[in-house]
Amino acid sequence: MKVYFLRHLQVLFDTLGRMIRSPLPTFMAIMVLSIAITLPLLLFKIAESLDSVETRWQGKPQISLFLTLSGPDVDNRSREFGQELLGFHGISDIEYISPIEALTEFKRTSEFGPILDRLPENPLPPLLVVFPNESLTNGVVEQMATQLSLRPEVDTVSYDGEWIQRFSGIITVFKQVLYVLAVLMGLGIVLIVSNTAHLEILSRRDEIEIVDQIGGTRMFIRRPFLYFGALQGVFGALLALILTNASLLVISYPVNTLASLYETDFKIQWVGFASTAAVVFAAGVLGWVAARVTIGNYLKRL
Amino acid sequence: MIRFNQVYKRYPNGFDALKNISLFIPQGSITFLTGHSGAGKSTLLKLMSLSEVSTRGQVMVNDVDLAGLRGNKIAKHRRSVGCVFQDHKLLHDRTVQDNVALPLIVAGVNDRECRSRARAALDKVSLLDKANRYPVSLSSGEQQRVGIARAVVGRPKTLLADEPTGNLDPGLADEIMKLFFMFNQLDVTVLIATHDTRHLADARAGIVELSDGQIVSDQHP
Repeated sequence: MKVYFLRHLQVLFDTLGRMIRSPLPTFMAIMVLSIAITLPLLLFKIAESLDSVETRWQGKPQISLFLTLSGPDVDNRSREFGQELLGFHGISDIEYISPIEALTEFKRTSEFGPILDRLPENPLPPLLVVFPNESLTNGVVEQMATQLSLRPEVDTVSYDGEWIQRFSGIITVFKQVLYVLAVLMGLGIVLIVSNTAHLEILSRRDEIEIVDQIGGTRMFIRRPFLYFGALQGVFGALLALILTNASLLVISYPVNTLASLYETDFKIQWVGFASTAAVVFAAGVLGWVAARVTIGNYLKRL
Repeated sequence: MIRFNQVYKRYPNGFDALKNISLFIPQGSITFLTGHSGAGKSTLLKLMSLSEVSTRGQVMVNDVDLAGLRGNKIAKHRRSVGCVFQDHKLLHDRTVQDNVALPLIVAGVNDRECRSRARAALDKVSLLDKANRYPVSLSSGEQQRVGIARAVVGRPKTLLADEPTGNLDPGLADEIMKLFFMFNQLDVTVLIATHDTRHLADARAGIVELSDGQIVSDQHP
């Protein structure tokens, strides 16, 4: 068993040595692989970043009701009104934000804190955030918003569900495109590694035939090519991760600037350890599979 | 022991390379396989090393019926048969010692034993001093001796040689033949396909002559 693992190690280092001894073709092949991996990986990271924004917005519509109520018992009356609305058909939840809470939040997120402190009284109205059932269509929710606006307790209604749904729809399409690209990436890796493995087989044709003649098993003959394919996949993925993070670094500054203009805390997410491990493992396995198929086909004809 | 029983070989292009070959070569003998070009000598050797399979009939080598062998059993059979080729078939990016050790590496022998057995085989063919050289730096005769060392390093029961002296001048050819006789004395069955008629007179060797895929004479000492 010790000899078996030793032979594997020898083949691994021999394969690495062969790759290093022909640096230009090796680099070119790995570069092509890395580009094939970088594009979908980059889109994946952007989608993941957008996804986090969508999650924060909960991906479901909400209706904001700015109330006309005021006075010392405004909180109690607002909550009573909220409880009344909660009994309505189609409303799943209500959240109450008192004028004090709203002012505190406004001070925290805006630069008007000192000015607001000078105001004689709190100008912000009580707010009820109404969460309609997720099963309701956009049209029904819009109707609900119109009906709520007719209530005397309600001053203004703000419904921003439509663009959230659109945004959610765009992300869904984006993700679908990403899945297609991921499949194409996998196919690309298989084809690229197949091609380079085929060239490697041709350059070592004599060796394959000699080893076959002197009693090498098919597994023994396949082994260096499997390592070759897997290593190409792994190195291609590692280079792709560097390229992806470099690309994210380039685009992060303008994206963050844009995000700050919209007062969101949207941040580009870097490729983390889990994603790195997954991409390297997947590319290694795909490289291995591609080399396995290619050398398998060659050995059938031997 | 090698036995052919009514063996036929037809290639995909329809050429009948062997027709109704029946042959018995006893264990520990040395036999020359002779005949004109295209007579079927190489095909006969290829059937024994399973580089080709017979169309009909039974081939037995070392008491094993080759017809039933598949997958890893073919590899195992090849390890029990040493092969020497006219064009040496050496790996030019590996040293002489690594070339000779290759059948042992393939068989899963550990590094230390590979090294000692490869050096012992090289010593037998008088090339120990060139163990760390690359084949390209050796003469054709020396390369053939490396090929022989590689063929015997796994201690095979049978040694097959296809025109081993075909590219060598008479002096070198004699040296190579001496090596085959030497290994034959170690109870290795040796079968040599050759055009070289100078060695056929050796009384210790049997001679099987082929013509157009058929045995025309079969003499044993």
